[in-house]
Amino acid sequence: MSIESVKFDKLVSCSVCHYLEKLGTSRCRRCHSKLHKRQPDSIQETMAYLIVAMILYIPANVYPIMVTSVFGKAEESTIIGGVVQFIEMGSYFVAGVIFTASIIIPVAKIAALIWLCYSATRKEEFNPQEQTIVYRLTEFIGKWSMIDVFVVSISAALIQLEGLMTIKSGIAANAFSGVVIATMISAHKFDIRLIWDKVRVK
Amino acid sequence: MSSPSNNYAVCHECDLTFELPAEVGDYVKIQCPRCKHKVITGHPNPMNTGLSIAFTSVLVLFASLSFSFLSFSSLGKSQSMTIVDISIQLYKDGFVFLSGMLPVFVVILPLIYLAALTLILLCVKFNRKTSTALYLGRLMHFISPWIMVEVFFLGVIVTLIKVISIVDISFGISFWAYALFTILFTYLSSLIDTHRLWHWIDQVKR
Repeated sequence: MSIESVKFDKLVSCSVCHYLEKLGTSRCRRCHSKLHKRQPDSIQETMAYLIVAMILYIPANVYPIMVTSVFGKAEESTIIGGVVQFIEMGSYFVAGVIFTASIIIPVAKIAALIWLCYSATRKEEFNPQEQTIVYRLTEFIGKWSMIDVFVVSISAALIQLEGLMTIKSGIAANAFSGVVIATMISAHKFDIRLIWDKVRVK
Repeated sequence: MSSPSNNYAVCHECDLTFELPAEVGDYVKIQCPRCKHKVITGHPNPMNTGLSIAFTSVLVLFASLSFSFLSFSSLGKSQSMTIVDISIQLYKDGFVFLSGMLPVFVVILPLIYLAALTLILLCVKFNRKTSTALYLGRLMHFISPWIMVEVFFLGVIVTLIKVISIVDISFGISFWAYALFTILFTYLSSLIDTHRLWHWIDQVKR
């Protein structure tokens, strides 16, 4: 078999078990999952989930993610507010982690996926090796944004001293989880092979 | 040494067709020549290693749920919590969705993954066939991106760093159990690649 893109050969690679089947077969012989040459409507579904993520990102940052009550007095803090608080307290490491995981990573993911979708639909060939690395980073980093939600949930479960100090999760936790889940699905729907298809068609 | 079932592989990321070596040396990584996507990693004894780590992981996971996770005392009052308490607290605060999702991502999905893997490996070991092999393989494929074990554990570490200045924290047995579970599960995930898993499934499917 010559080294060529499989799209132009008569083979399809199963996305679940990587078995090579003939083009035109509807189900993989080995694992019975549906076969697709490329993920159907990949760019459209990726963009749809990205739009959901972008919409949810607004309440995730506007509403408080954590409510701290010290001696009965409740204090709400948003994601950015929390980061600023940690910097003021001197906990630079925690501030850095929260800032990276909750602000830099989701924004970078969304930007990277939008760029990948844009370049996949243009005729010019961008550097496919670079784009593959961007895609792999995006997919790998996806679930790490959940760290902020976990931190708030664990703090809430731990610090429950009635009257002294209690921590509760804020509404933004729901929205932010939605952002993370939406970007994870969005990255999963993007078919990276679309980038490499252009290498063949010059 | 593990041997791949097909002679040719198609890179899942760039669609390049290339030839696979007949045998893969121990700990040797086979990559796609064009985009460097890792296809197979050789291992001296993947089946027994996989089984033993899977068993240990399940035991350690159950241990991490049963005992106290973190406890602290401050100004005379003390508080102790288990992992389940995290979910319960979320539910009490009104976050029904999150209280259900957290145990799913962190406990239930890894458990399902480990159970499916153990079943497949036991069938391989005892030369039995099962009609559920295909479903188990597909199940493992679908749930694997959603397992957030390491993320949760790092979240615990960050929380500790956050509260350690306010209160005196002591670690319960469950904390160390979950730490061990994180290490074991991460290693197991790197051991099980698609090629190897479906090679096993091919041997046990009815």
